[in-house]
Amino acid sequence: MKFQPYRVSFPLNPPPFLFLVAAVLLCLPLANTLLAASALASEISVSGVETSIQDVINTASPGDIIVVDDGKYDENLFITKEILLRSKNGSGATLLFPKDPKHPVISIMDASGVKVTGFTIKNSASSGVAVYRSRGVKIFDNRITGHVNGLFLDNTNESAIFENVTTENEKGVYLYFSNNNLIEKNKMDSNVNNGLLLHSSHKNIIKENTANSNYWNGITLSSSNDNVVEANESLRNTYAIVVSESTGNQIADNKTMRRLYRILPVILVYVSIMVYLIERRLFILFYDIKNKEHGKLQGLR
Amino acid sequence: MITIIASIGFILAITSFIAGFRMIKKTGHVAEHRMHKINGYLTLICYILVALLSIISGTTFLFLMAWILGLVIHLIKLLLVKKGLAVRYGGYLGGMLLITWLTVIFTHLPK
Repeated sequence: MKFQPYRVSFPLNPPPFLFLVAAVLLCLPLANTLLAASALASEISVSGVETSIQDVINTASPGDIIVVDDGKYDENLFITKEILLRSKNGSGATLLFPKDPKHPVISIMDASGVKVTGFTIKNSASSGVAVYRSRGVKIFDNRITGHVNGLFLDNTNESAIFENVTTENEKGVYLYFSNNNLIEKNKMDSNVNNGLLLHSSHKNIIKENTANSNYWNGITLSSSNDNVVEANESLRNTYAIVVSESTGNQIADNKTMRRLYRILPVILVYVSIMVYLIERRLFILFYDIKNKEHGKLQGLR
Repeated sequence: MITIIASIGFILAITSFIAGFRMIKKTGHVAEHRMHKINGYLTLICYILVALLSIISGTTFLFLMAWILGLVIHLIKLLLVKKGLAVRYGGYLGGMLLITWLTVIFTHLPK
């Protein structure tokens, strides 16, 4: 019997598990980085109205998520770093009132990537949410009422304002020297002055919003160029869409109708006179017929 | 819905007022007497309906008082006519009723 020595062979094509091992080894540094990043973006809860939201914001790091518990908070919040501020159970359960009504309830200043969502923000003599000199901010799914400006963007670019309800303010949403923003699916109804006002703001996209029943204008573009205004609903305002000293704006597919209800009583007075005249004739006709029949019956007797 | 009922009530109130006014001035046809009466009662029904709908959908104490005041004006007008004092005081009450209905219409315009 011939002894055959054990021979280790190295095939030309390595087995598939070697590829798997290599892939895992290569991904390890990436996974490490991701884990480190997730460790940085921690979620901080603000529970109970005794806790100050501002204190939590002050201690938060960029990228943190601050979750605010249900309740009513009297604070003027000031945000200067990239955080996500959200309520735990939506705008119906978390109310923000200003501690000092002369200042905005939420001020975002010189920041990028800030997100605010899920609050009811009420009653200040300033703005509900004011954003100054910022970029990439997202304000969504909030209810903002009872302010001079519901949402105010000053020198703020490339930000998104969507699915907010801004009612019963002087101005629902106000963009001042703010460019390349997206204003989408907001309800900017029943404001005293304007639903949406753009002043010296260019290349913004305004679509699928409602600006109804505002006392003055639904949407106003003042000294604002190259904006896209499409598929909005602007009903029952004094003026639906007003463009002043502006060029290059694309205004298309908006639904507009003037407010007619205020003259309803006058129309009703005219209708009443018509109804009176018709009704009178009918009653007299009916009376005459009845009398004639009565006369005939008496004649027969 | 509430605006429609209020509008019908307002129209009936005006037609009733014109018919009543012509009756007092004795310039109207005899048939207008019945017209005034029917329109008047329908106006009162409309008023009660609008008031009930408005109160059900939420009201304040002041608004409740205003609704009661309006109803009292309607009832006094009815009482005066029954007592035969319509010629003397009916015009004033009719005017007050019109003001009441104008208020009802303006407070129930759609937002």
